[in-house]
Amino acid sequence: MKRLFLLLKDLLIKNLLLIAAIIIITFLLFHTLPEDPARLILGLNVSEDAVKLFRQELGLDKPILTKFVDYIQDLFTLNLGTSYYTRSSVTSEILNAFYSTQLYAGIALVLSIIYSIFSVYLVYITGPFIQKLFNSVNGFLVSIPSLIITLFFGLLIYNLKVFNEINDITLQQIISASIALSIYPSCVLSQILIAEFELIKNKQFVIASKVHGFVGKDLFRIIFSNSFLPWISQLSNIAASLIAGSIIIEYIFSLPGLGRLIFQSIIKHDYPVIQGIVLFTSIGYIIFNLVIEMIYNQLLVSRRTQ
Amino acid sequence: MKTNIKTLLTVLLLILSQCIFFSCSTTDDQKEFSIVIPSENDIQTLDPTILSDPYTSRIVWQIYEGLVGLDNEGKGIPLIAESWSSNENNTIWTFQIRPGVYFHKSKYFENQDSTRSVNAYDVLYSYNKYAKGFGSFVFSGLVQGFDSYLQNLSNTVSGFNVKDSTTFEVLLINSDPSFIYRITSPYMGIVPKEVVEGSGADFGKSVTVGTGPFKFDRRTETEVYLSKNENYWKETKGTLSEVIFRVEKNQQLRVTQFQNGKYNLLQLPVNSIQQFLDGKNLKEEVKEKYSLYSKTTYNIHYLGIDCNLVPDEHLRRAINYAINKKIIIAKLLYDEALEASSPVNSGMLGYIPPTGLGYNIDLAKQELKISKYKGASLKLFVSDAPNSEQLGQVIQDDLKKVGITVEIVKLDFNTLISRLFSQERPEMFMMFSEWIYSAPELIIDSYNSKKIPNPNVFNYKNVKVDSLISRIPIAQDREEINRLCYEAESIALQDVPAVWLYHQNNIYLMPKRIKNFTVNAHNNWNLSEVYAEE
Amino acid sequence: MNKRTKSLILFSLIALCFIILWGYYIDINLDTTNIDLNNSLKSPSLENAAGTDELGRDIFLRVIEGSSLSLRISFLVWGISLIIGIILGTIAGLYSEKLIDTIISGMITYIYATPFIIFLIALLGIIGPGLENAYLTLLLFAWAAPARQTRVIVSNIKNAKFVTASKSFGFSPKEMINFVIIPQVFKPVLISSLAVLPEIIALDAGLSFFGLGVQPPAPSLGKMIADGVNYLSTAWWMSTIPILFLLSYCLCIRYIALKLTGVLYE
Repeated sequence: MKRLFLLLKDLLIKNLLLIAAIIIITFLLFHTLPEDPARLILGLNVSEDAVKLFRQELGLDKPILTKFVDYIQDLFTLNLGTSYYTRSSVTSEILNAFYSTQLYAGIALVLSIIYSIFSVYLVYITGPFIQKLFNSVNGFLVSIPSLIITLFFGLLIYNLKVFNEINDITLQQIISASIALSIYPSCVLSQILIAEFELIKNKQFVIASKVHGFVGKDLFRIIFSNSFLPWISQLSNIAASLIAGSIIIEYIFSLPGLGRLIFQSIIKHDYPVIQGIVLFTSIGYIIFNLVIEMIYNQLLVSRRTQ
Repeated sequence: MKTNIKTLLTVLLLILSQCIFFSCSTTDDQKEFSIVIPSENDIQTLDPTILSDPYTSRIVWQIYEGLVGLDNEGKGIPLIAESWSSNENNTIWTFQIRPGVYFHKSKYFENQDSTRSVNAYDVLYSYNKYAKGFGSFVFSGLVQGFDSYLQNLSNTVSGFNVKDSTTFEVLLINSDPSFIYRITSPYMGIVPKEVVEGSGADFGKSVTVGTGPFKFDRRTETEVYLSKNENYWKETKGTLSEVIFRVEKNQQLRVTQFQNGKYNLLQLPVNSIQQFLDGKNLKEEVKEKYSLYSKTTYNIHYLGIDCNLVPDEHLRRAINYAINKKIIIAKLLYDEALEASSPVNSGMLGYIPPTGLGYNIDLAKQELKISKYKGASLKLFVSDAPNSEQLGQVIQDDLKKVGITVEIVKLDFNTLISRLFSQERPEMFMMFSEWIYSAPELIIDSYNSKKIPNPNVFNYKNVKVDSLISRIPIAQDREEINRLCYEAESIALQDVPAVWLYHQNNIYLMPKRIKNFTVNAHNNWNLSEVYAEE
Repeated sequence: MNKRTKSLILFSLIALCFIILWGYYIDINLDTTNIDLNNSLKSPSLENAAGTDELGRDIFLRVIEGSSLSLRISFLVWGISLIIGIILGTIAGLYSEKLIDTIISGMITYIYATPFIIFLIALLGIIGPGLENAYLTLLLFAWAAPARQTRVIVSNIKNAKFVTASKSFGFSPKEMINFVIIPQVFKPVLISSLAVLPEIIALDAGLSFFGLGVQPPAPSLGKMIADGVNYLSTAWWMSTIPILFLLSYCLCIRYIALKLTGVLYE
């Protein structure tokens, strides 16, 4: 436990500089901009005076250093500002959106984990032919740009009326979205697992285990427990692809969530929200990687002690 | 090792189980007659006084009503105002508030019934609230004290006046015989003060209370649930007990889900017309399943030209002559549009607009020769509104054929509007307007040089046109007003501040059992009259 | 690598070059933006190999022209980011643990740490759409991967025997870089960055799909796919043909990358 704590402290210090850089660069990005959001938000029919008033209310005409100080102060209270468009707290909007996204992204992740384990078990039971099959299917699907996969599968699912029995449209869309989103991660994870499995299978200690009478499920567990380390390290890549995929999925299926929030706020030039999302995803991503690294480390250690 | 697998499995199960909890929370018992309607755009706000998005309006206009409405023929009908009258020179308009119109029940009304009836103070409050938002250009320069209210020099608009609890007055600076036609769309819905102030920032998001035929139940980020207002003041034939609006931005998905039976009413996107229609009627294979309703609302799709950046009227005329509207309507819009020569729909309060310049390649080339055009590239802004980009490309090609070079820049709709008000205006822009008022002279104001930049987005100035428009307030009757409009437009159309392309005809599809669906000229859907046939 | 693989790779490369050149030729000589509304939504035929779109333009020629533009720019971005990456990575590797290395490694870590797609879209939202903007922002990110790999290789080999041997032979630093280090670095970095090339091509398609790429009326694969989605039931060729082409480029390059990687580690 103590070792874990020390590791956490170590990683945090390393990443602190990174987090600081992200915060500063994000600020510079979003506060040295030409576009005036006031007109955009108020629309066509409002007089010039109302626009000036609005600008003052939002504090758009303060000098940049003041803005930066306010920005840092707000960050400490986890206040990411107020959306220009909906006038509600950016933090709450992002958290709501994130909840909706992780609903189907989480399911997609679970589906891809299940698929990868299932695929490698199938390969283990059967043999090289199935392995070749999986390799070609995985390789093919991985090569296709994720835009096309999600577009294709999304529309396919609807046109085949696959889930038409489910009356609740939202549930239907979540299931369709999860499946479409899980295709790319499934193939990546499956590929790695199968490749690693192949490597471990011929190692000395496995042959030794066979000799000692480990067969079937037990043998599988032994080989598996030694081969899923690189699989775990892929999880951070998968997380990034899930975020990118969610933008496409939510665009196509009109689901509420982070991707839709990103897209909408960019179109409406809702800079506080865009800034909040960039901060949230960057720092969230770092934290996620941190957790993965700690799990990886822990498993590495526990494997060594076995 | 075993514990690790166990923890992994429990985490996976937890994530999966969210799905089940989520679905349980959203399935209700099925209401009797409930329909689901897709919405083309995100839900902007449910507060009518700050609303500006035409797609969300469709939802909001089920919940709210204004003083005056519009019937399906374009005449003003009494809603919350039972009757109205004006003084001799049309500078004071008096509205009698209908008794017995109750707001939807809400906990913010602090009495036993959780509701109360509408009175003139509500109208005063709503109009003052509206004036700070979208309403500024409808009333600006017209209502007494309006402009000083906008500049924060006074707390209220002095021209909005309550005579007693059932009488509301509007005092105008100039005479306006068509005042009620400014307020026929429910952007000026009547909102209750206690609810607005009681719910604070939630008003328009999770709280919205009006007087309309449907009341707001609940919503999510992309869905709004409305149920029938049992206390509605008007007798209606409708039997709809619940209406659900869902955001579905993808055109293809909207159509597919409609075909799958998930959506029960669809405003047919232009690109999908061929899928269902053969000419003007439904195709054979879908005739049994669906019925069709068609309506041309008060709208105009046009190519706006900035008269400051393109000051040469010969060039503008050349642009007009070069565009072939007929083939656009026939091929791109499948004939579901009326060719326009004016922003006013023909027949609005009896007005027939002049015919304008028309399509003539030879005249276009002639005008181009006379003009001082040397081949500079003109910027054309298009938006992501339906067909905007396609039209932009067709126009670019049409103009290229006579020798005018056009560069297309695509922006999203809101950005385009903001650019129109900034320093970086384009020479031309593709726009459309869904009119929120219903009299021709109010739309002719688009040519009024005093109304730059809004609604005169063209920077168009013509002294003769201005003088004709200034005579409208003192006109004797509708005929004279229409005549003045006609004269003003005839001059303006020669100057081409815009090329008026077409009035879009809307087509609505619904399963056969849904009956009596109609829409008024503001695209206000009369869902309260819809009933189901068994 | 057997003969069949070699010839397949050669064939793919020639096909890609051919498309690039043909598209460029079309761009200069033909006018694919010519609108003829009477000809709209025609299915594939002898005159229009892939049919026409809703404005009557021939899809096949537009696909070739759009692919050519996309491939040209993708290769360009890929090449430039490769060169920048190798240069910066070499510097970082040679002077590792010094200030310049810390700066460069810091930048690389930053780029790897942020989900770059979000930054990309945010940047495009700010500076505006357009192909040049998209690829410029892409360049900001794409150099990180080759740089990281180069840095690792260089810092590993700089203490290797053959390098110290070359030093003792009197090679100047410039010659060292050119003749000793770069050859070691170039092949593996080039081949592993080949895997990124289809991503860049797909990114262009993705951005145009959302309307953040090429402006109308210029043809672009992503744009054509997006336009065609609305006509899937009436005019399937509008989306399907561009998708097939896009798919084949990605698969092609991935195949080449796969086979070459296999060769490298034989």
